[in-house]
This record gives sequence, structure tokens and C-alpha cells, in this order.
Amino acid sequence: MDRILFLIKNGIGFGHVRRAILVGEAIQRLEPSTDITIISQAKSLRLFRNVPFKVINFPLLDRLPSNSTEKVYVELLRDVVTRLAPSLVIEDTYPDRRYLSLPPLQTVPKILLLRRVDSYGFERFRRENYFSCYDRIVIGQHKRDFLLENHSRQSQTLVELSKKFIFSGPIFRYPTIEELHLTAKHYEPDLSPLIVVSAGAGGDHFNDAYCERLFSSMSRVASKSQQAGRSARFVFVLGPYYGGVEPPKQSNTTVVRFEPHLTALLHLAHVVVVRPGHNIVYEALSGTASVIVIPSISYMEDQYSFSEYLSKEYGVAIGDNEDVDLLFHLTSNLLDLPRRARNEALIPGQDCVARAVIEEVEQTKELSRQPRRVTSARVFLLLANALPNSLSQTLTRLRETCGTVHFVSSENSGDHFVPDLQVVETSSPPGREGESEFPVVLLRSRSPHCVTPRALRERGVRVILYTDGCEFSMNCEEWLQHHNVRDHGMLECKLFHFYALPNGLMQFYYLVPKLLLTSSILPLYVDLSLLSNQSELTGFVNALADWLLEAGVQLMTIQELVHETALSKLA
Amino acid sequence: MRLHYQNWLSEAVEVERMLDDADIVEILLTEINVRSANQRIASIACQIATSLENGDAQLIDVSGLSPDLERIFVKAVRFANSADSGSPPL
Repeated sequence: MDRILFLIKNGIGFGHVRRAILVGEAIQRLEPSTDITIISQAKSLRLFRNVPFKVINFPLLDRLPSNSTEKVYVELLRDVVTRLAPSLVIEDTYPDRRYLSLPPLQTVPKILLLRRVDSYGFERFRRENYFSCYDRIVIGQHKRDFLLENHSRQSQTLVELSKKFIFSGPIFRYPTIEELHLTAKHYEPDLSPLIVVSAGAGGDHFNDAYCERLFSSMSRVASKSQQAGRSARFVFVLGPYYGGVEPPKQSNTTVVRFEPHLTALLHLAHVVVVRPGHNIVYEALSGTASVIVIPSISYMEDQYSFSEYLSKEYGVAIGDNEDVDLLFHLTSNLLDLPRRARNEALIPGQDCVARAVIEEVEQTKELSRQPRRVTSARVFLLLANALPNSLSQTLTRLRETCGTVHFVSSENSGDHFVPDLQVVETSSPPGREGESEFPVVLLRSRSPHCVTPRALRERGVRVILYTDGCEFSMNCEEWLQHHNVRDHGMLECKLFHFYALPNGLMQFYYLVPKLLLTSSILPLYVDLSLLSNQSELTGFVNALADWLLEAGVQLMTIQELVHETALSKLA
Repeated sequence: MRLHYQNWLSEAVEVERMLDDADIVEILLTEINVRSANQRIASIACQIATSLENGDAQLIDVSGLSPDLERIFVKAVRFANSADSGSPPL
């Protein structure tokens, strides 16, 4: 069974949660056996009610009271994800370093599901190299609309030439007949036409009290409407994240905190007044109500240009929170018009996303069925962080397959003066012992600022291995920028930090061809810390040995790695 | 002053001690407590995954994770059976 894991954050609107649910449902329609699990950081769980998926909700990790609390949560997140062992991960819109740096996710295929972001936001993602972290990026827009967004030439070129980007069109849903029936019974649109006012979940982008101003202005419009003798009911859907003052009760208003069938309500309305968030706008446009959007400053959305686009493309009206007369005028005029004809061209994009997801999962499975022969590659393996006293029992098989095996044992964790070092040990077949020519150490990244190059040299170190896996403090890469070890007669060599997981070698099948795109030498630091018992360790090491044989990988010795590194860095 | 030990993760340590009034002083985790915490967190993660796999829980909310880690399992609910309140019952 394949497990698709959604990783989402949600603090302003409903879009991230809605997209995950809609895409998850579409995946299960196409592949019913797929397990869908959602890890969210949401303040409200209302949208998860009656969802047929497993959900684990974390707090918003950006807003925790202390660093130690955050650390505990990230540890918990890491361990949960390790055990869930997803086949593929989908992140929504905002790449999160905490998610991306989770060890069990570094070697799992990843898709970024990107709702419309403005050109500055898109450019920021590109410049910060976020797009390179994902195997595919699915954009919830049509390509023609994306190209209208005034993106930079570099961004357009990337999207058009990289084959990484797919356009699904907007992701939204139509209400069911039953939802329409239930909602109509509750709000009675036949008695008086409905004007629905909503800002999605009701959260503010910034400290501008947008939602409070929206509800306050529309409350005054309701008052003016009553004074003018118009027959209409104003329904305010505040949203669970709304923290402002509730609109005052009037005889022609209904105020609700949350409406589970909001899509149906938008379809039953005669006029809809909304913040132009991507999700709610398309749910409104897919119905027959006239739509008024009220743009404001926003995070990566540029609602003003989006509103202009919606006005040209779909004929929506644009209002202003500060101009009650304009809002009254627009609302009254639209109430006098007949309902819009349904726009048949609006087709939800979640099926397109689901097909891309399933294709990606199938591609990864294909890699595991037929491991590519990678005879042109040379791989250096350094095994580390096994449970105490467990590694030596499992090395025999690997040594038989590969010859010399390099490892750092947990028993040998540095000396009293330089605690950040681990000496690299070698396990060789009989007759080849003692081949090591130079002392090699692994520089651990826990607190390398305690070490000086001189201290290392005084201990006879010639070669320093390091990885980019960093938990605390300055990482090794930064330390090496400040300490030129070559001036002290030493050579440094970076290893890719690979976390072994209990579910076998799927990560290897995925990772190796990817890394070989950029280099024919793969120095890998195989971190065994996430394997919790001897059985998992033996299973992993044996599978690794099988893969090395099957794929025809040529293993490098530490001497060969050092020779190559010396040539490439010093020659 | 209320002294709130952040090293609650070590089972050997008393979780909190009441002194005077309402200020909170945090004491950073020590290395040894981090190790102890990792074991407990791994165990909790395992229980979360198992609860989901076995169908014991459909939705687990750990957003209110408090110094008493055990409480998060009180929040594990089968959502279909929960009250119509918008947040899972404690």
C-alpha cells in the first residue's frame, strides 16, 4: 500500500487544508488502496471533521513559546514521519525548512502543490532554491494565467524548460445536491435573496484587521439596505480564525462562526462578497452568484492584480472596505440583476494533481523493481550512529560483499580534549588489514566551534570528513569557512548525510540516480541512528549489500576518496 | 515566582515547583535530559503511528502538548464519534 503524506500549515484561510482534502479524495478515487495521511499545523480542526483520512495536528511551529518546545515538537515530527514511512510527500505552497530538513523526508519523492503566488513570491522561492528540493511542482493555475502574472524572465524560463512544473488549473469543489438541499433548508434563500460575506477561515494576513473591517463595512451596508427597504438577508460567515468584533445583530443579518457547507451557501447566494483568496473565489465563481471581491495587502498573493484579473476574466466587481457607499451601490445593483449563468469552463484541477502524484509514485516504485546499474558511479560509504555494540555483528555480510568497510562506532566518541571528533575505523577482509595510510576523523557538527585546526593537527589528523547534518550551533561547513584547514596541512571532504530508515532501501533507489546527475562520485555518510533495534539494523545492512551487488556499484576505499579529493581541491 | 522546569522530559525530575507568583523561569534542557527525551518522544511517536495504523484514532491533536506528555493521548479521538464542538474533547 502506498502512503501519501500531506504536510500543511494553516493560519489565515482554509486553502491549504481544502486542497489537501480535495487532492487526497481525488487520489483515492483513482487508486482506492492508497493511504492518505495529513500532518497539519492548524489552529482549528473543524475542516478535518468527517474527513476519511488520518490526521495528526501539530501547533504552528513558527509560534511556539520557546526553542526547547520547538525542538521537542520537531523531534516528535521526525519520529512520527519515520514510522509513517511515506511513499511520497506533498507540501502545500510554502516550503517549510522544518519539513524539508526532516531526515526521513530527505530521500522521499516530494511534490510542491503551489496555489497561485504573486511574481515576487515565486521569484523568492526560485532564488532561495526551494524548487530544487522537489521532484515536481504542481501549480493550481492554468499556464496562460500563470504567464499573465508578470513573472521574471528567469522564472518563466525555469517553468517552461525544466519539465518540473505542471499546471492543474484551480483546485475547488462543487457542492453536492444533498449539501445544497440541507443548506437551503437552513438559510431559506427563497424567502429573500442571500448576500454571503466571508473571508474564508477569517485570519488576517497582517495587523490590518482586514476581516473586522470587511464585516464592519458590510454590516453598515446591511443597515443601509434595510433602511432602503430592500429584501435581502446578509449572512456573515466569520470563520474559526476570526478574532475581531462580531457584527451587530440586525433583523436582516445572520452571523455564523463556521459553515461546514460553505461551498453550498456560496452557490445558493445571489451576491457573494469575499476576500479574493484563491480557494473561496473559485468556489464562488463555480456557482451562479454575482461576486464582489475586496482586495487588500496580503502575503505573496497580490490581491489587487488578482482582482483585476478576475474582473476581466469573470466579470467580478471590485469593492473597497473603506467605501461603504460603493459596497452598497455594488450590492444593490447586483441584487437587481438576474443570477449569472454557470461558467461551464471552470473544471476543478484536483484530478490532474492526483494523476501527477500517482505517476510520481509509480516512477519511484519502478526504480525499486529494477535498480539501475550504476557501474559508472563510485560510492564511498561511512557507516555511523548504530546502537551501541550492534554494528560489528552486522558488518560481516557487508565486508564479504564490498571488501573494506569504513565506520565510526558509537563507543569511540572523541577524546576528552576534542569531543567533537570521531575516528574513522576500517574493517577489512583477512590479509588486507592495516591499509589505512593517514589518520582520518569525522568532524561532528554538534559543536565544532570548540575545535581548532591546530588541535586537530596536533593529534596527527590529515583528513577531515564532515556532513551537513547539523543539530545545534554552527555547522561544519560554516566552521570550515572560518578555519582554513589546508593551511594546517589537512584536507576536508564533505559526505552526503543519508539517514537509513527501517523500511528498506527505497531511499537509495531514489537518491542515487538523483545524486549521480551532478557527480560520478558519491561519498555517503550512512546515519543509522533512526534504526531502533538489531533486527532493523541487520535488515538494512543486508539490503544494502544486496543492492550494491545488484547495481554493480564500485565502492571506494577511504584512500581512493582522499586521493580524488586531493586532486580535485588542491591540484 | 513560579519555577517551571523545562527538563520535565527527565522522569526523575519533579515537574514543577510552586514558589511565589506568576513568572516563569525556563531551565534549558541538559544533555542528559535530551537523551532521555529522545527515548520518550520516540515512544510517543510509535504510539501515534500505531494508533493510526490500528484505527484506534482518526485524528490526533498534539498541538496542546503540555509538560505532561501523556495528556496528548487523552486528546486522541475517533473523530466520527466526537461531540459536535469543533475541537476534540479532552
